[in-house]
Formats: sequence, structure tokens, C-alpha cells
Amino acid sequence: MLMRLKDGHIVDPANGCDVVADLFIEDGHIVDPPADGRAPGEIIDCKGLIVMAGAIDIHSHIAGGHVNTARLLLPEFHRAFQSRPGATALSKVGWTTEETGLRYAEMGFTTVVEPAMAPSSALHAHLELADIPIIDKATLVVLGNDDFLMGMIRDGESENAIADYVAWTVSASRALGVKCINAGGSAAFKENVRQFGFDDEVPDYGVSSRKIVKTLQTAVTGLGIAHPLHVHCNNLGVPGDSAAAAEATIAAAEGLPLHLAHLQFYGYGAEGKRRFSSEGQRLAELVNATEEITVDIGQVMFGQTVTVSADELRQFAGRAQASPRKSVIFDHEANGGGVVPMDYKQSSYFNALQWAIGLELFLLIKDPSRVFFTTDHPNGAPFTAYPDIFALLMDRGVRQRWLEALPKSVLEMTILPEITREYTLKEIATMTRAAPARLLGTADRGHLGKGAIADIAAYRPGDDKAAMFGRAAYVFKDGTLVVQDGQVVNRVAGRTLTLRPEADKAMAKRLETYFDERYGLPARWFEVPDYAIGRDDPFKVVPCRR
Amino acid sequence: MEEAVRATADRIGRSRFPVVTGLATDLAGIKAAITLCRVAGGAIDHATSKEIYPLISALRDGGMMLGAPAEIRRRADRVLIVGPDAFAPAPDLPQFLFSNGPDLGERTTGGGRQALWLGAPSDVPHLPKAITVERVGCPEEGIVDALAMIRAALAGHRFGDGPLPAERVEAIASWLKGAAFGCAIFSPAAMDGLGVEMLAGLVFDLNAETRFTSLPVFGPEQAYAAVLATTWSTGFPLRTSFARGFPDHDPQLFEAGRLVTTGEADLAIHVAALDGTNAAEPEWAGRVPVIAVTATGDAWIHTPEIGFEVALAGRDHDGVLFDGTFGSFVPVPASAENDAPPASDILAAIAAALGEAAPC
Repeated sequence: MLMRLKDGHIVDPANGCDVVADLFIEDGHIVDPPADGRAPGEIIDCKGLIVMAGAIDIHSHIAGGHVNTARLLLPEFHRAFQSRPGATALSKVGWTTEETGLRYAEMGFTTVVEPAMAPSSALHAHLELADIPIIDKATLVVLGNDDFLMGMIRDGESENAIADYVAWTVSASRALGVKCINAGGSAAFKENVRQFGFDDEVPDYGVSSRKIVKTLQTAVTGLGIAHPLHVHCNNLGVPGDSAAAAEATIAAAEGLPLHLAHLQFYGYGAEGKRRFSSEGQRLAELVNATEEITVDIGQVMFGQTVTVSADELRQFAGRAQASPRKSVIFDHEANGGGVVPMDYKQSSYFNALQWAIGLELFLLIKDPSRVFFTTDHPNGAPFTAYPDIFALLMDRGVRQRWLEALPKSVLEMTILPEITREYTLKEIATMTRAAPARLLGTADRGHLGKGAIADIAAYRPGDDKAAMFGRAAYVFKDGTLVVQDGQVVNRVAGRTLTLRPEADKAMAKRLETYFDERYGLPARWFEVPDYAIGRDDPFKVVPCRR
Repeated sequence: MEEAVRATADRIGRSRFPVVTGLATDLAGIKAAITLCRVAGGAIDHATSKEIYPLISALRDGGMMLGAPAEIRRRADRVLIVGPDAFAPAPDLPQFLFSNGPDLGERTTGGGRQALWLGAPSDVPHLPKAITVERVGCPEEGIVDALAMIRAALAGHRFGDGPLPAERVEAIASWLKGAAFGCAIFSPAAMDGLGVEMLAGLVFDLNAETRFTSLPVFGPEQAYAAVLATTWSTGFPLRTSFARGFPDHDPQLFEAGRLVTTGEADLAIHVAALDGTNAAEPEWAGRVPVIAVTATGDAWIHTPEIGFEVALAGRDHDGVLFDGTFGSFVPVPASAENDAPPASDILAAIAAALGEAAPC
């Protein structure tokens, strides 16, 4: 059925469109206005509404073993949701698979990437993703602490052989890209190393973190995987060392695309009497000057949350700050990881400066197509804090009110009060729609041009940007109306986007032998077959660029 | 079959408070059971949840450090085996873990693998030759005390008399501290929550100076699969009621055995159709009307009010199971033919019929 979204203000930077116009949908896709004057079967009045493509979140921990362990560790989160709806920060966490899909859809998000899927728990991640309603999903598979890769690098194996291994892993785990988390750091931690930098070597392999990142960057680029290697740098959160790690990683991009995750957590210097200062401006300038670099922020917002990460070394160190005081640390194959609850307090100098550093980065990185909108859910804040962050970016008056509530000592350490920039709607649409689609290589979304899937969000504009982006007036998923006036009205099932790069058959055979002999496990346990998902047509394959 | 499904939906509809339990099935069966329980407004639990609840309790009260079996197989140089029944839920696990010495890690490769078995049984099960095991005699009821003494010794604290001589305790603490990458292996079924918490604390303490992890040993009944699936679906690990219209978790109140034996539940939907597991009649079968979803040929003393014969998960149809040696879910293709439907199909059909019958 042909549907007409009538008289909306279309903000579609991918197609250079910022006008009041009609939009036509048919068979789940955006189509040209009917040339024959055919009457639409349904007309939705969008007069006065802002119409954008469905938003895309490139980095949000929404599924998998670590996320589920966080749920297991913190039943009190969910209890808060049940007994005090609307009254607490936790009341909007979206803690189950079901809630995750509903809450994202209500804000107009239609695609979300789970950025840390271990090869050994790929099936678990996909099983949870399949239970998340409405939105499309994708995953990044984690490499860079695995014995096989580090052994290949140590032994001087060819770029082709390593690319074959990466291709097999991406294909088997049904991922859309590759992530590297504290490259070598988790493996080193298993050797009782407690501090690990970009040029440190992993014991027993003699391979540096830099070498691992560069090797994976070469493999990902060579395979034609659209999304650049997604890097979680070393020394996250360590004042001084974190900024140095980000700086060294940016410099190591050397002209090839590289994405740095949650840059806010690296924006820490060691100046001042508390030995904790902002490096936000310096990192933003580095990003501005390095065109091959993209970043997402990992904005901190105040309130209770939980950190979930496959950076085992960092999570072990971070357990000293756990609030409540309990954590789970995993010694898994390759990365492992940890789950550490965190309560970011507005009254804390450290937490308040973290908040300010995130906003400095958002506002000082000039190109909205190279900076992405994330809280690193749930690490900086639950994704349900997004509406407030939109308001902070788009309205300096809102920022001023938040700044006035911070400890005065923080204001001396941030240039945020001096920043007057306010994001425009076009910039918001670039950062959350057009640019993520380009970054992920998913040409079918992120814009409203002919042929795009009809993932559309319409917002009722107003001075209160948090209200505007918190409750979409309409959301369409593949052309079906799923949200009206901020409420889910139709619970459709989305799919998971994957690549299927082909690896040399010899690599599959070699890995079969390796997993069997070294780990005593069949290689097929690392593969995610369609039948295991328990849904018809669970995956949508995205082509590689090569 | 359709008639039985309708009759079951009608029977559940007339129930005041049904409990959905057993759950010895694959992930699809567990998920279908969750959906049915939600529609029915009942409580959900696994037949063997009491065997893993000490772990759940300790984990969410104090946290833990946990290792994957395959990583322990490749890296652990010193292993603390806790309690006589540590491997009882998975007798083949030692073969998987210890057939070879560690081959991963600069500090562990080639150094051999040693174990201390705290409270070893008099007839130690056969273990691979690649591991050297030293038995430490300790009565089962004294194991947690012994762990507490070791923990105190490790911290340099004084400790009183207990099940082990003080010198032995000091020696064990020193041995544990000398691990390059150690692991404590235990069966949650053989301990209580506080005992697991004590062991978890010991492991955390050891990591102040070296690397140490722990491995809980699960049986094959898919209790942990049910924990994981209910956690991502409801936020809670089993023992959850939907009677109030939302997931309502209470590990004491909604334990299936208690609900049945106290009469709080007036109907049980029992699922037991998993290859390689005991599908015996539940001990409470005569106390409450039962709708049984079991494998072909099961015969109970107390005949279920309604019985469905289903295929065996893990053998007769494709599925997903939690595998204890992998530490996660694995795909399991069918290895035999069976015309009977999977448990998930029956449970989904009942839920659909019940949903249609429910008042708007």
C-alpha cells in the first residue's frame, strides 16, 4: 500500500534535503511520488513535524554474555523499574531485551550495533538480539587478544592469511565489523600484567598492542569491510595515560580509516590538585586534524549505571570504584571482561568533569559526520538518557543550567562554559543518521532517498529538545507504523545485519584443527547457524565493498 | 493434538496459580515456557535450580571472578578442587580440563599442572595423568571453614582452630599464592550461597598479587540456560511470577517445589524432554495436577492430568543448548529422527490458545 507522509519538514542531510515536502512509502521502502497520480492508501499528516530517517546507534551494549551478567548481578536495577516507574534514573534503563527494543523505538532509533561480541559467545549475543523487538541490530566481533591472531603475528604470517582468519571469524560469528579492545591487554593481564600501553608487548608473543591494531586495521581494510576497525584503546580511564593512548592510536591510523570508541573515557589528563583534568580540547583538535579518524563519545550522565566491557584489565582495576561494591570479572578465551556497577554523581569532581569532557568533545569536534552519538550504553549512562544529551548539544541554555549545578572546582577545569555552539537539526541528523549509515556501510538506511528502507522518525519540534527526541510523534520501521506519540503501537521483528566475507577453505580446515587440538572444542561451536536463532530469516546480509 | 492443546489452555485458564517447571529442554523450549508462563500468569522455575542458586546468590551479593573451561584447560597451572562432589554434575569435565598440561602463557606453559583437592573423597575419581593431585582431608561440613581459614592466612590475619591444622592452612595459602594462573573448581550444588561467597572472596583476594579464577560445575539439565534466558527476558534468573502482570522475582517465594508442596500452586506444567538427562517423575507429582510435556515412553506412577509426548531436545531436532565445557550456548543439530513435535511447539501452541481465550 502506498502511504504519504504529508507536509513534514524533511531533514535528510545525506540527500541534501532540508525542506517541507511529502514522503512516499511503499512495500517497506521510500519511493518517488507516484507519477500517475495514484492516490495513497493512507495519508499521515506530518505538518509541523521534523521528519528524519530512523536513528542509528553505532555503539551500545545491548546483548550478550556480559550484558546478561550485568542483569544477573544487579536485580535491584530491575526492581527499581518495576516499583517506581518514572521516579528514578533506573526506571528507564530498558533492562530486558523487550524493553531495549521498545525504548529505542520510542526515541526514533531503528538500528543499533552491539559493539563487543566475543567469538566464543556469538551465538548467545545473537539469541538475545533476536529477542529485541522492532529495531534492526548488528554486532562487531572482538579480536586482538586471541591466541590464534597473536600467534600468527608473532610467526610472521602473511597479510592474506590473517585476512582469511578475520574473514572466517566475521562470517562465522555473523558480525558487521571488527572491534579490538585493549589489544593484547587482556592476554597480558592473564600473565599478571597490570599496566599495558600501546607499545608494550604481550608476554609469550612479543607482539605489541600497536602491531595488533595495525594488523587488524590492514585486514579489515583489505577485506572491504565498510566499518573501519573499531578500537577501544589501552589505558581507558587512567588520567594521563588514557589521553596518551588515544593520541598514539590516532597517530597510528596513518591515513587508513580507524574508529576510536567512547573517546570521553580517554580525555583525562593528570593536572590539577586532584591529578584529574580535561584533555577534551586537545583530543578534539587531534580528531579535527586527522581526517581518517572517526570517534564516538561515550557521554557520562549522572546516576546509577553499570559498566560492561571486554577490557578485563581495566574492569579489574575499576572494581575498586564499584558502586554497589560487587563486580564480576571474566577470564574467558581471548578478551574476557568484566561487569562493574557505577554511580556517577553530579557532586563528584571526577564524575562531573567526565560529563564536561564528553560535551567538550561533542562540541569541539567540528565535523558531525566524524563524531557519533553514544553513551557507550550502559557504561556512561543508559541509552534512555539520550533525550537529555540532545538537549545539552542543541541548547546552550540547558548546558548552562547543568553547569550551575556542578561543583565549582569543575568549572575551573573545563572550557565548556565558553563553548557557544549549538547543534542544528541538520547536524543531529548527520551525526545520528547519515554518518552512521556511511560508517557501517549500510546504504539502505540513514537517509530518506528513493530505495531506502522506510525507517523514519517524525518529531514534534519544541523548545524542550529532550521532550522532542524522547517521544517521537511517529516512527516507521520498514514502512510499518511502530510508534505514535511516543508509544509503541506495533511490535514488529527487526533483523540482524551481517557481512559474509569468504575465507579460504584452507583457513576453515586449519581452524577446525586448532580449536580441536588446543581448546578441545569443535569449530562449529563458534559458528552461528540460522536454525539456532529460532526465527525465520533472522539475518540480512550487507555486501562488503570489495 | 489440537484438542489436547485446547484442553490444556482451558485447564490453565481455570488454574488459580500455575507453576511452569522442569524446563529440561532446549533454549527454544525454555523460551516458549517463559512465554506460556507470562500468558498464564504463573511462576517459572527449573527443576534443578536449587543446584545453581548458591552460585546465583553469591554472584549477585558479592560478585565473582569466573573462568571459561577452555581457558582453564590451556592456562591453569594450579587448581584448587573444592569438596568431594566438585565434579559430580559433570564427571567428564576433568578429562576435558586436564588431559594435557598448560600450553598457553609465559608463566604457565611447560610447568605442569598441580591440584589440591580440599575434602577429596576417599575414592578419588580417575583423573588424567597430566595433573598431579594432592588430597587434603577435610570433612564436607568443614570445607567453608577451611576456605575461611585459608583466606585469613592469605591476608595475614589470625584464625582459630578449624578442620585443618594451622600449618596446613598456611601451606595451602602459600601454594595458592604461588600460582601463575590458578583456578578454584567447585559444584554450586554442594555448597550454600555463603560458602560460594567465601570461595569467591578468596579468589578475589588472590588476584591482589597473582592471577586466579574460578569455575562452577553445572549439570546437563539446562538450569543455567534457563537462568540466562529468564534473565534477558524478565531481568531475573528463574523463580519469577507473572501473577501481578509483571515479572516479580523472589528466590524463596517462587521456588517451584515450595509452591507445589505448600499448595500455593494448583497446577504444574512440567517439561522434561532432554537427551542424556533424567526424566523421572517429579517427587511432588502426586500433590498437584500436572500437565506433562515429556519424551515418548515416560511412565509415571501419578498419571499426569494431560500428557504431551514430545521429541528429545539435543537429539531429535535442531536446537540450542548451554554446554558446560564451552561455557555458553552451542548449536546442536538433530542426530536422530522423531516424528513427535519439539516441546517448544507444544508450549507455544498452548500459549497461543491461552492467549486467544484470555479476556481482553
